[in-house]
Amino acid sequence: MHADVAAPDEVLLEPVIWSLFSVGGFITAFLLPVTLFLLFFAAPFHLWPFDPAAYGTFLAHWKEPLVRLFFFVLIGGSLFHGTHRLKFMLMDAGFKGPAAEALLDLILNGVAIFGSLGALYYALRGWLF
Amino acid sequence: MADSEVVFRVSRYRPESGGRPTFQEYRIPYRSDMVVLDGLNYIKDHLDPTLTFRWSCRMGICGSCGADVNGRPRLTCGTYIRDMRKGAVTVEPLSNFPILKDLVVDFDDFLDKLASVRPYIVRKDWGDLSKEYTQYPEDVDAYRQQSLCINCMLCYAACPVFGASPEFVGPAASALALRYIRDTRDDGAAERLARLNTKTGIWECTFVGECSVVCPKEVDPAAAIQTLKFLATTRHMRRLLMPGSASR
Ligand code: SF4
Ligand code: FES
Repeated sequence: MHADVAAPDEVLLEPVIWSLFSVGGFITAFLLPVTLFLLFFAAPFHLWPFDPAAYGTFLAHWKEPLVRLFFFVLIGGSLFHGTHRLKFMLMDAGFKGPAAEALLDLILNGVAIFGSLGALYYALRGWLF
Repeated sequence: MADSEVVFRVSRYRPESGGRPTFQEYRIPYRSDMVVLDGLNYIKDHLDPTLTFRWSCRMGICGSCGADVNGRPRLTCGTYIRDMRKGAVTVEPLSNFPILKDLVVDFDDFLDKLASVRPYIVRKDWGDLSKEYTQYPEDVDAYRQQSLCINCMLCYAACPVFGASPEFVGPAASALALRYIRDTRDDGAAERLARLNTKTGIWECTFVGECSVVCPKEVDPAAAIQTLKFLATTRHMRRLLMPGSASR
């Protein structure tokens, strides 16, 4: 006989972290490779119409709030995705248990949060302050 | 007509004598149309009546004949011996479950988990029970894939997360929760998502995906869990941002 079992308490943080991870997955899978290719391969290796004043052009575009927002989301999203994925890879590899998971959360979420704050600082610097 | 022999290495465990499971070898006549369950039944009928295993339908419907065959969870009635690598066929009880005897494992824990996601239609108001609750083909299409689950437990045997954290609600119970959430006659989505949005719920899943690889009915429980994560997150966000809104 299997009576209904009392449901455990709902969690508050996991859905939020997972949504950042999920959006970050999209960014990491699509936007990051394209951005890295354009900035670090296509331009220097002349695969793209090469602009000798590329840095100046980039700097001019960097003033646009949308460009800053793009890079902030790109870096923050990739960090949240990467650290969440790394946490679960380490857990699958045997780094399990409440203490180990708390340590992973602290270090990896810390990296993602501080990295995103750093990206936010550079996105706002010279624009808002 | 049997044209050769095949060796079966079968895990034996007798609870009354304690100790660890051991392997016993049997040589059985081989025909190219034999499935692993045929081999086990040959052993039971002709060589060793004490060998204990579950089966019923012999056609991939009842879900009772699962075992680890050559290290991978499979339905023994759907696994041809000719498709195995040359040499012995090794048959063990499904991993990650307590063994009751030989190849028979204890699923009680799964039944509790299944009950916790309410695998039936929940309605706030049954209304007029004499009227039909119509289902159009597109309504059925929404949950057909998850409704194919036969509770064979191969997905739990393949899941390393369930192996490491037995309290994880697991693939099949999650897929069945989604089956009822997607049913247009059902009002129980909020309760199920509340159950799954817990420490032992869907967030334990690290998307290894082995459950979907071994599933014999193409239920794709890994995808079901990802869909549930999305549904649970939207419900959670809605409740955080609009506390007065409906909980579904
Ligand atoms: S989801 Fe697939 S593998 Fe899991 S119990 Fe159902 S039919 Fe079996
Ligand atoms: S005997 Fe029924 S599924 Fe194999």
